[in-house]
Amino acid sequence: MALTGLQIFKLLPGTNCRDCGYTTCLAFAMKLAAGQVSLDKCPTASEDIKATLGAASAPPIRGVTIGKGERAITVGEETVYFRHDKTFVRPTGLFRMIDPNRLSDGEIEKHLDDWATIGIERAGELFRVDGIAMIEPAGSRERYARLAEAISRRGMPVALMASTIDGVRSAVEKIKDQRPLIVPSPGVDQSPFVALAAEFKLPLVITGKDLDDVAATAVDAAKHGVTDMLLEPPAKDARELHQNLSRLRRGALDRIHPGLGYPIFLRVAAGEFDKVVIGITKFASLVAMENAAGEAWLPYWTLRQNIYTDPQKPLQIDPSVHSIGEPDENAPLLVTTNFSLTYFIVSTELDGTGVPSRLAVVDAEGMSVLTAWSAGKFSGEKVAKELRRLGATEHVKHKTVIIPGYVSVISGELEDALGDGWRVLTGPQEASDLNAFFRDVWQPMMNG
Amino acid sequence: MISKHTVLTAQKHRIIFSPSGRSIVVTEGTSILEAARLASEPLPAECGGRGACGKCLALVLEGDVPEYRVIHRKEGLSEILACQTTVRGPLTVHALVESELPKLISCDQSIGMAPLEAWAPWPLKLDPPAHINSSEDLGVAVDIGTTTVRLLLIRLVDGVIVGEASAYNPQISWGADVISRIIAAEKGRLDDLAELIRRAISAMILETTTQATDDADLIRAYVVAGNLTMIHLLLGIDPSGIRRVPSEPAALAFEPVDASSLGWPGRGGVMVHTIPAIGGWVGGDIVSGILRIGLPRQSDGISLYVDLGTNGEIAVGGADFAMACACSAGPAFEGSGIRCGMRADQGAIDGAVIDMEKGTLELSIISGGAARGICGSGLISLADALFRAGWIDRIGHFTDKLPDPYRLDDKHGRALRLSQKKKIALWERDLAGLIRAKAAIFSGIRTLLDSLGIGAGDISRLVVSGNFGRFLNLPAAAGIGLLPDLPPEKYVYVDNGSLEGAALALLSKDFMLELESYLRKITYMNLSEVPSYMDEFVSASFLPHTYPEKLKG
Amino acid sequence: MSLKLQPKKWPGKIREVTLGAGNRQPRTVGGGNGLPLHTFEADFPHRPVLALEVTDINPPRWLDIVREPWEGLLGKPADAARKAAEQYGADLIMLNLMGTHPDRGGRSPDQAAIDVEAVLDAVRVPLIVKGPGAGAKQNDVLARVAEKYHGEGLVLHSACQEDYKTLAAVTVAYGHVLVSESPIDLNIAKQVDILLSDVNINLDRVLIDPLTGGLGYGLEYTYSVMERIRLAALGGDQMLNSPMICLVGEEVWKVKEVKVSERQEPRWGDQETRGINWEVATAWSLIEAGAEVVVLRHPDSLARVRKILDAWFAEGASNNTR
Repeated sequence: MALTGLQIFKLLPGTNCRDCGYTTCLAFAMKLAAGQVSLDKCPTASEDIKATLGAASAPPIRGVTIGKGERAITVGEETVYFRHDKTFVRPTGLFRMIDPNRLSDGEIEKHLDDWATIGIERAGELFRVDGIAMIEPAGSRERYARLAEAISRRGMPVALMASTIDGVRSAVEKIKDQRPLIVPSPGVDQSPFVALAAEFKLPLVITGKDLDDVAATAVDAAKHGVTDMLLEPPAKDARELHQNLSRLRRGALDRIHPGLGYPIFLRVAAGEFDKVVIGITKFASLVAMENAAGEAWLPYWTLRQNIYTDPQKPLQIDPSVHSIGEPDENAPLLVTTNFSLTYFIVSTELDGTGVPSRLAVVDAEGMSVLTAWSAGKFSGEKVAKELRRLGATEHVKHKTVIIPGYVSVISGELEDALGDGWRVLTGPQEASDLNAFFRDVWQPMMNG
Repeated sequence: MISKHTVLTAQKHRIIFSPSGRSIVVTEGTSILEAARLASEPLPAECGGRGACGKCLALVLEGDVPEYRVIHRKEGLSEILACQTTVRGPLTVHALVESELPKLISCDQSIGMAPLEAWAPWPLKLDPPAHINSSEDLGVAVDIGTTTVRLLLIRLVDGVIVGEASAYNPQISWGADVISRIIAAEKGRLDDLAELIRRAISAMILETTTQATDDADLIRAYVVAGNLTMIHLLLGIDPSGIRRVPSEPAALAFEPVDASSLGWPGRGGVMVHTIPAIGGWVGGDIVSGILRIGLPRQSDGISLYVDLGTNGEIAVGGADFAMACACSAGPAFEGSGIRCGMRADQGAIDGAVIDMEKGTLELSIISGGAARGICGSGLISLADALFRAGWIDRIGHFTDKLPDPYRLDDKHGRALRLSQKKKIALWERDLAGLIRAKAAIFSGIRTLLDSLGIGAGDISRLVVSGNFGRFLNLPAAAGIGLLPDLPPEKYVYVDNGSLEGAALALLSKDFMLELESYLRKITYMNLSEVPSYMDEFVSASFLPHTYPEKLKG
Repeated sequence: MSLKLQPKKWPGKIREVTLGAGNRQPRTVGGGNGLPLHTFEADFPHRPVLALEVTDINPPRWLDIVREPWEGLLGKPADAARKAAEQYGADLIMLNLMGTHPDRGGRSPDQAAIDVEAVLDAVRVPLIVKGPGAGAKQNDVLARVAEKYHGEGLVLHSACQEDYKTLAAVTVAYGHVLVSESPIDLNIAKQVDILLSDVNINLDRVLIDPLTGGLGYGLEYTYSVMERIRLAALGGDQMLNSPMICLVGEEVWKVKEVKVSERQEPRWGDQETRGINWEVATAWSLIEAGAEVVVLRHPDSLARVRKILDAWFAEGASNNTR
């Protein structure tokens, strides 16, 4: 059972010496309770408290890293069933599956060139293809090794979807320093793959006919020296997938069996859109997908971004000027902060007005309008500086900027800071009144 | 696009204020409130000009204002909020809300009392921080609140209170909350703000010394408690660091300053001491208060201390530790920020009972007579009575059960009529302000307790302080969910913990020393960094609470 | 060593709310005693239901992709409703009376009533009636409709914290179901239900609309608030155990990611499929979070979500198959 701050405080020396960096022992105890600091920082902590606190801190799900270098991906380390209880920490890795039995090497190289460079920016995150799951080509060990190397060369993590131990061994030998993930075909004898993973200290996917089988195999693999594993539960349809993912996560968190404390691997065939959605929302750590194009990837990435956002640290929007509709140089220019919920509400309402406009989202450290104003992050000067930096002032001829009604108090200061004939118009307090504001204020003003 | 020219040209226009006749020429686009400030026209703006308080409501007698800013029309004239309305042509405007200029209120609640006997949490001997020359020598203890300033004049030779005064903080014209004051200071008004509070306190000293003795020069020492912003502003120190994230105040504790440098009476070397703070948002006022209730010497159990001011302050702890936070409650508890609000003074409604069978409302009024307004304790009592009777719903909206004779509908919305002759009433938006204030306090309490992993039932003593005069209806406070619902014997009411602590510090050097050593044990919690605080706040914004079980021990 | 996977049992369950009465074929939602879709450990007497949205006027700003399935029927709510129920397989219809909004033609309450009557005549499935949004007009329109078609068990969308009394009264008086709306906030969701309960609405006649954030546009807020509402309900909170309704279509079909063509953003893939994927991903995530009534715009989205649900609940509504 986790201890409260006050319970921990009573175990601490109570010197308020501040050597830990906190002003009081109580403040330090509360950080300990929240898991945000280590007990090592306390110079006088007793052995007793070290033992008491240590027991509760081992992670229930192991972290496993696949790949090397900048694009290496770590999965697992989750601690909760519901994201609101804390946060989900390691976003689902989305891997593209390649079947070399249907493609020439030239075609594969071309795809790899393409996928390695995909990088779509959205709300502060770079969407990429996280890795490549290479199916073992029939009949050529050499080709498997060559293709695996072709992926590694581009810096991308590799999952080796192996059907034979000889095939995967040749690929592993070629890229063993790149920490590939070994994925045996479901149903094959896993023991040689276990031995291979143990030999090269590589991560391995464990499969089984049911969860009992998966858990038992994982324990067995651990006995044989495999430390990094992902579990692949049976998933004949969406319902079975959901059931097994849910049970695996809960079993791991409740620590009911040592074979469950690992991240989860999932493979999906082309067109199984729903399975990927379930995987992302419900605890899959790594998904290898057959043929899926941008129209599927974009929602996957976005869903993952939503689900893995820390609920206690809401998303910040990148400061920039967003176009609503197709605004021309006479379209209204509005300004708001980069707190994501503020942005979503304002942009949604703006869109609803049908009036093309520009929304300048300025950096206010992710705070809402009034909070940012209170903290001095949305002062006239700061806003003016941001508007200039973002080039918002260059888009419009009317030299008028509309500010949120709650901060009408900054209008004079903003006008001064912008200078150059700029004028500030105080908008409504609530975004839902933008429609009326455009109709009753903006349009009459622009039409004289 | 045809008239773009008129949009862009910065023309100048004359604004005339009625009935004072003050006028000023301002650039087009300036707000009417700004024009009023430039013209020294006292137009109140407790929210600092955010369109939130409604106190700068004005009638446009001549000239044109933007149509979308017109709130209401009266006999063909437009009513506008001066802070929200920009100048687009020559205007004549007339302020509608009676300007609440700081007024001096004398009271004699404490005169004749000896703080060391009445308030000392443990035995303290008389030992003021100044040399006593004569039996007539005096000391001054001051509490500078964001809304209210209170002062005690104490005879040092025997520690008896000989004078008392209280007044609104005149800085209120720069905004009712500390943020607005800090912003005003940042905009070059620091000296003005310092001057305002120093002069107000001078006036209070003169008033009280006249009551007590004619010679203000007998004053030998001052002790001032207040939140850190108030102390910065008093000393004329830039407060802008306080509102940074994280808060970086210029200092938490200040060396004593010579009274003459503040323009206060005292012959040669009379020093003004200030009570040190813990953090930018937990100032000397709460430190003073928790010392006053004796936290450092509390051997067992946990005390909860709640100071119900504009800046609500909460502390929980005992001899080994204390944790403190501050929350912005708004000025409702001090009888400000509500339309018919007033201080707990003669004529203030301070209690209410509804007879459910007869459907009648009975009011209690300080010193009897006709009601002049509603003070903080009256507001709490009214809300509780209305809620119990079903006259308001859980979000403070009047229901169909409100009897017709009490129903009032006007441009400010629906209200409870409290006086037939004078227009004293309680509007829905006043109740909304109270609900916000009580939610800020209660969610602060919950967040502190939750962070320590304790429940309301673990509290052995709940000390409430605030400017409620002699009276706070504790059952009503618990009834609306302002305070936890604990057995009555656990409640203690302290009139003004901050002021009383300052008085003790004025009379006992030991008290001040113990205060300084206890500071190290106090942990400051910044509520805005606690993710669950907003949730707690919203769930407390309901009568009595979205989860009534959270009120119980 | 075999796994001891204990089914998770909860003290509370979701209320059963019946949509539609009188001439409607009633449809009941709710009743589950476990986490959403956790059919392996809990009982679900009723499956989530899917509605399609039809409009009283030709909706001015719908994308071509969502207009195409309704070719010739936009602004003809009765014909569109018939097609939705008979051809597209909607479990129920949401009639969006957007034309009553002062900015969209300001149709009168009586004109709205005529539209409602036409839809009621055209189909037998339950009907959700959505007003023009908060404000006096909302109450005028919905109160008129509620009074005129009493006993039809209409789902009135919606009442909120600041304005609930009028619609609460007509819901009680005329036997309808009321949607209580809150701005993605667990506490306010509960507060509205308490307020409704205080004015004597039986909460067996209430659906909670937690306000939908579309995929990429606040979905995570809605998702977590819904999970928390569902957990509170299962924990026994009688003021948070109403079934939830999500208006998915209107949130999805206005976002940038469905509006931009493949020509503008080749990496984003086929625009039509992308849009439908967006609607399916939003709908399915919210069903996982606890949505019992999901309102969609594109019939292909409905068909795809329905296919998953059909397979999920194939063994009958109650699926405690452990």
